[in-house]
Amino acid sequence: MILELSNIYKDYSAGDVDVPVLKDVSLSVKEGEYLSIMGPSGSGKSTLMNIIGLLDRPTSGTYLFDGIDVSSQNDNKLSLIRNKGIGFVFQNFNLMPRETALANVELPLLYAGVKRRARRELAAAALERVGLSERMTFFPTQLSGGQKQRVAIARAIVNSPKILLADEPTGALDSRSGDQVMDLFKSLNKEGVTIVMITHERAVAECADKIVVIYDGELMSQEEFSRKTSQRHGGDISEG
Amino acid sequence: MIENLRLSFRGILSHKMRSALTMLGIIIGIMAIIIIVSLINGASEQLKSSFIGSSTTIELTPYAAQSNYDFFSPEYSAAESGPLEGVGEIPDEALKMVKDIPGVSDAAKAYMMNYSAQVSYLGQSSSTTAYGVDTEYFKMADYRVISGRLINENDLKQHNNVIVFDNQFSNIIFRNTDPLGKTVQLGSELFTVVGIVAKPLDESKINNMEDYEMQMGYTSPVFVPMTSWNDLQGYDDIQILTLKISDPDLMIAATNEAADILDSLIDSSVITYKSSMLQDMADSLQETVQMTSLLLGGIASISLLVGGIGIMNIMLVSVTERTREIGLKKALGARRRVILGQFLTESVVLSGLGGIIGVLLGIGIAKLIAAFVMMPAPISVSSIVVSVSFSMGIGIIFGIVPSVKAAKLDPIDALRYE
Repeated sequence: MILELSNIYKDYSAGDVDVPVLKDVSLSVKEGEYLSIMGPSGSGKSTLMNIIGLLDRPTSGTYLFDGIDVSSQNDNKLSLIRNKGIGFVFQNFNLMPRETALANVELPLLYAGVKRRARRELAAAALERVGLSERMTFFPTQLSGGQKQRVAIARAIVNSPKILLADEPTGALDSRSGDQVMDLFKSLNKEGVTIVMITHERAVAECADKIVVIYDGELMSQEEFSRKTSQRHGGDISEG
Repeated sequence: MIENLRLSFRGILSHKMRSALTMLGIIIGIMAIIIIVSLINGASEQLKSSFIGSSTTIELTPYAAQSNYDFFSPEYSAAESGPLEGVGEIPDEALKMVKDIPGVSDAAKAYMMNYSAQVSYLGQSSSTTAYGVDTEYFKMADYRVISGRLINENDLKQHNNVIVFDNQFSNIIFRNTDPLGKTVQLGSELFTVVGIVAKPLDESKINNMEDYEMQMGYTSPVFVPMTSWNDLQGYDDIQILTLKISDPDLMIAATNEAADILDSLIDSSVITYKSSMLQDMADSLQETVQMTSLLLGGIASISLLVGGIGIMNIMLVSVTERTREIGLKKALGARRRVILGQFLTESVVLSGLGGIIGVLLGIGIAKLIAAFVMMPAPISVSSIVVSVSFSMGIGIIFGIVPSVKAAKLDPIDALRYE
């Protein structure tokens, strides 16, 4: 198992009241898996993403990342695990606007202490992998949305992480660019990259091998979710 | 580290106007310090060279020791009131000993009447310093002939009533007319003008004639033959010794040694030989200069403090502006000290750059002022090193708060920040 979350709770304190955001979430991801986590906004999916991405700590519960209990690690250790173990893909790309595509992709390698020349080579290879070897010296402003997201994906895979963690990766893209990104994810997964993708779009979620749904802070299968929502509102989560 | 420098320079260049304004406080502070230090150094160098210049002559005059001596009322000196009781003529052996003192290149006996000699021409009279001299005196005191001739052996032998004018004084008395051959009255006697002399002025060290006179005790004098002096003043003991100093650094020691030699010949509990108090004046001026420089330096430091606060302010703005960037970097695995290092480097580069610009501007302005008022403005390497490192230190001190703030940002909050 690469990820093993058991009985994760997360509360946010709003004044005197603790608002529960995640309730008893348990989730396992195997190596090579491609998992989608679906959920409407406010369901707690961003919080779950932050916890999986080691950007936030659960209030209680255990989280083993690649066998390591991360709840006992300090900030610097978590930075190290994030750097080597997790590749982030964000909805709004989060590229450094004044750096070239190549320099953006080099960034995680810089923090990993990789030497300049090796950085160049690895970053160039990652950009080639996402089909942007001709755009290496371009700045983000000179790239289309789809190209920017592919640069971000190159940055996410450049360190050969344990998992690729994508938060609404197609959210800011037109459908054609979105499809390209999804195709890229698919082929990366075929090459053995483990992917966890968070989205509220059913069509996007269905690209994955497995879909789980988060609703009101609880994680459930699609069947469970259909049962619950048909009882309560009968709405479609993709509208959320 | 190189990466941090690269990021810093790009950060600074991408906000040129803001960076320039931020650096302004440091630039002004460092500039002021460089200007002050170099002008103060220049002024004291000038003081030193004009008080104790390479061609300085110093007069050793006997003073009545018990008198409450005061530079501005030297009524007890032999130069003012004629020879003092109990002081004989300076013997030749003593003169020879004085000449052998290290730092003394020459010495000569001379009569001197300080400031009080009245020279009249066509009913107009002016006071000046009059010297009774031998033929050697002019060479020793670095006088050059401008027109006519110097006092010669013949004048001395025949007690001729001839007089040599300093160029400056000649201009005061004779205006545009040719002074040679004119007859003037000095004291009760009439003298014929035979020559005009001048000291070569080192223009770069002297601002104006008044400064020169003040600093050198040089009051555009007149010269008559030593032998005629006796007729004029009615005495023949030469009690005043003029020293020519070759090494400025040895001036005080040499003068003191010469005074000791002369004092050993007389009852020094009553009368002592003193130099014309140049050193005291130089010292007190030096002290004033140092006080001034401390005061001005203090004011300039306030500017550095303000500059430092400016840097802190703009760095805090920069941290807030780049919250997302910081969050992303943390998410990608940048540790706290990477973020800390980045912002601290930027702050130090900002202040260091300000320091360097300040040093360059300071040197430029100091040289400009120096050229304008004709004085030296030496730039010491140590003042450059100290001010640049001091400004970088300010960068570190005032960069710590913003950098720590950046390093402590929570990546989720930072990523969410719009």
